[in-house]
Amino acid sequence: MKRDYFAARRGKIFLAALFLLLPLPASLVYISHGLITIPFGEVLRILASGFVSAETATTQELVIWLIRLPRVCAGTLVGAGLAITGAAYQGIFRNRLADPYMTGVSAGATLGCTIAILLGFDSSVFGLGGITLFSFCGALVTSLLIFTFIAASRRVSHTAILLTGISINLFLSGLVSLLMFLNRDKIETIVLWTMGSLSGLNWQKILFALPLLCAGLTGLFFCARPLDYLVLGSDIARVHGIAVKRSTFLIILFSSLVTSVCVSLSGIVGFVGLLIPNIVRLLFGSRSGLVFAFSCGLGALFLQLADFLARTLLSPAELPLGILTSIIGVPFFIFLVLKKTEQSA
Amino acid sequence: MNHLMKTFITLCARASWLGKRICGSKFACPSLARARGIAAESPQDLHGQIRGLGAESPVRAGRSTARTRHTDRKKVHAGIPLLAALAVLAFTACAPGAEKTGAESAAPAAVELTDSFGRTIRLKNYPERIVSLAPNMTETLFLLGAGNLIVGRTDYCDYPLEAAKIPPVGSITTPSIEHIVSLAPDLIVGSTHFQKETLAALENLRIPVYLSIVRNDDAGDAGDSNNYEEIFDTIIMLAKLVNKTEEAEKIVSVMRQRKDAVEQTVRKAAHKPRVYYMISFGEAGDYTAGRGTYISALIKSAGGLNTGDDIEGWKYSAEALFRSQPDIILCGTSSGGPGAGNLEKLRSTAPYNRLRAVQEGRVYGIDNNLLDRTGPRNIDGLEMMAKIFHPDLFPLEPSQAEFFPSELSPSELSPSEFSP
Amino acid sequence: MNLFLDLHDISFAYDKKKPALTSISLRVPARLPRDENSDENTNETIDENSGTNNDEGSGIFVSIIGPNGSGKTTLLKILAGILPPATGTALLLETPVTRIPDPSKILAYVPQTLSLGFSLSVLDFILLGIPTEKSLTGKVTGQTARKAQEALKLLHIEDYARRDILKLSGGEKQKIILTKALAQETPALLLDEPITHLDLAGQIEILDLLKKLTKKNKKIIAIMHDINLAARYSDYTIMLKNGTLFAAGKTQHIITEQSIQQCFSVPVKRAGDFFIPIKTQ
Repeated sequence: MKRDYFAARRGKIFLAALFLLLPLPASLVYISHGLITIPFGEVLRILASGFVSAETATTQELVIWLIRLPRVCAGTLVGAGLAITGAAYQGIFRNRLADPYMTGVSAGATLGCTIAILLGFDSSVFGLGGITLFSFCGALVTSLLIFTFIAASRRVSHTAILLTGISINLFLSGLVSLLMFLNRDKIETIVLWTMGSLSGLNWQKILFALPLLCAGLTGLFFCARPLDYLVLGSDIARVHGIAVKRSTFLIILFSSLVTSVCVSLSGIVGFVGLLIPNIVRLLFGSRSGLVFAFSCGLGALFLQLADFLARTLLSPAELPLGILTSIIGVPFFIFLVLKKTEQSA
Repeated sequence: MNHLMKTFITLCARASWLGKRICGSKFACPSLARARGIAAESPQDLHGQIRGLGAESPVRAGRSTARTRHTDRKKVHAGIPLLAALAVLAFTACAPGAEKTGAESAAPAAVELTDSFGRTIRLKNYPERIVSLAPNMTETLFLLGAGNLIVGRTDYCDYPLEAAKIPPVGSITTPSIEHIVSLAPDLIVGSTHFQKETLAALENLRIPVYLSIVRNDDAGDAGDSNNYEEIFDTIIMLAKLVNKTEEAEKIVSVMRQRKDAVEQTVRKAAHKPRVYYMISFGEAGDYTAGRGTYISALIKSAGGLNTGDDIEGWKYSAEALFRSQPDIILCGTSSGGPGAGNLEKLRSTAPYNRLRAVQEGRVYGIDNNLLDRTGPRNIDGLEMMAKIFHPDLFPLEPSQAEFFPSELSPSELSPSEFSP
Repeated sequence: MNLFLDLHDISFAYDKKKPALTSISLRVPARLPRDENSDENTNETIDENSGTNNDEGSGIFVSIIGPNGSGKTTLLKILAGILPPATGTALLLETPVTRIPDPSKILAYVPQTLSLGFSLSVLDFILLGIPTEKSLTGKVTGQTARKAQEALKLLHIEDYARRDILKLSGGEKQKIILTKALAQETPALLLDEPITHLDLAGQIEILDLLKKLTKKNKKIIAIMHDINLAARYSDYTIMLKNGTLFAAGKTQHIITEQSIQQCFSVPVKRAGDFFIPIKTQ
């Protein structure tokens, strides 16, 4: 039996390595293609010669350093972030259909973005952009609501958290709709943001996001083992020495941080957090540490691809990212659901 | 599951909306008129788009385009599946023009016209109470000296200033029918973004509706005099409705003169600058006026080369901008706002601060209402752009305030009288 | 270590109106001493397989019985450290239950059933019970695999290893929950109705196994619904009624016709090793 166990694992190691290592070479492909195709060698040379600062920089250098590289970086970060938080929430709520936006974060971010647009705060604050900042704050503040709820409740009931998240989502969405109705000229701007896009990026935003994301991801990885027990139920978790309330709180805290950062970079991109962890679980089982690691890899790959398609399919027009992830995601999702129902039947 | 259904429906709604935006021209039935450079869809467009109108914050980083700057959408959360949306659009797009006319009677009519949609308007007498549901019509009517006939206007009719005294009846896409009826009008005029529902409601109430849209030439060769002729035509047709044909002829001839003057002067130019008309940038997305749009035509007439001509439609990209490296960036801004700062914003936003035009400070603003609203002020816009593109050929005139290269043009710039 | 359980004035209430446990105080020795000269009935209830395990006196099998709602599960959860007692102190293996940092090293808790959101292989599930230091990457050492295999062998379910938890029947689930607890190799084992879903053969198999484990110094406390089986297998019995302690002591003294009648309000008569409800005409 021991031999069986390891053998099966070995079969998957190739796939695992693929998920974790592919994003890097894939980035190279995505950076070199677009409106203008820049050959790989040139790309590598430009990357190696450092950040473009001279006044006289070629178009290629500008495009690579200022447009494509930030985009691909952001795609990697956001993809990884959304996938891992999806995995975390699916574990915490013991529900395969959980996604990172379940606790109302997406509606909070949209509200922040709406307020930014209505107040006209699109101008740069430290080069970040009002929408980025406000959506980040909106997402975080909304998470605080869930935190206080968890902190205040004696026993952590997953159903209660879920329902609270859904209610917050609905309430804030209603607010956003109201604001849109009162400012109909801005509806399009707001709606386009919610569809998700990586087009308005620059390095300041990425540098703002990077430390926060790293902190959140590290925190989540430390919560992987407690999550394994939490998945079994709070009773068993407690017996295994897991501080249930604190662990749940920490996981939701880190997940909210990561989701808020991702959403402020890219808008609301759906299906990544829902699908990727399920696929990873199908392939590698449900141990949280593994699921987290491979979700990051596969999520990054997925979003890189989606962003690339978004900016090249109808070039120079850009498809919103959310549409693309949904289009790629829906068939997969249906396949998963069918597989699941056939399993439990 | 509820969450998923909602996502799915929203996805379909957005896909259908997006599909129409990106591939707008492909969905419109060819028999329908398309406003040149403005909303490329018919007024029966399900989602309704309002052309650039006032009352928008001049800080332009919203994701909007020239034609959809002030959108008036139905609640997007109520989704319609893509197929149904297409089906309805196809149905309405090819629906025959409404046949209802004004006062149906055997008596001889004072005026009988066919509007842009083939609808016949027959009025026994010249109208004395007009409700204008289009800002460009309001402007034109005032210009013709028929402003006193207007008893109702949309929220967006902000020019000339006298229009503010007229009671508003709502937005272009959702005007309050009750308000309109309470004003007892004998004619409604409308232009782009006029909604099918509004039309149906008004026809049910047997109020004559006159719709006028500048048709687009599919050949899309910008700068054809066809376009201007159409604008002149609409002015003349409207004048016929209110019995001001003489004034219209005068106005049109002045407009023609000014336009010809600009085009002739521009022909002397040694070098035509490459112009990027920036509707929005950055987080809001990069939008410009593409090939075949009305604004593109105006740019060409003003002696510039529109970099947006390498796309159709409105969506551009930062990469394309870097590839084209325009000489001049023209920012559309609406009048009345606090203005200023587009250059500052561009200077402080990467990667735009690396564009040559930004580094050289060649970023100019122009009131986009001059360009979007088809009407007499288009010639003002044309002249303004010509001055920006060829300052050596168009010396500043003392009657007009100077405009500064790096700031928005103040609203006083738009001349409000035409001296024949 | 002399005492398995030492409870003093334990109370608990889920909500203010109805307390679940009121003032429970009891002591359970860690092993039953070999010579019990104060008792006349010696080892009537012991299964022949166990032989003379009580003579060795290394572990103890405690059963908790009582009518529904008498607080059995509550008591067990308090002992496992899952619920904090409202009053009083509880010592498990002479450590206060509220202060055990990692209870999984001392006790293994077997709930009635598990609800899992998604599939987990039985093997992975059992491995969760075995504390491994570097389990972040899921690396399974030979040592842990061996422990898991041994646990599976104890219950004769090695072929379950690759199966999916979600697809198991109630009885199979109970078995693997127990297997996981056994794989933890802790001195104490707390079970909540461990045999409810099993067929007769399965029940006997598990109980025999538990009895055998007490030989190996395991302290077992199990909630049982079947009074007869409790009387047969357990060394010590705690009887609860309405949240209060009805009786506690050596099984043969505690489980009697009178006690059953008073506690469960069902008249029974004894027939050999069994208690049979008296038919009411």
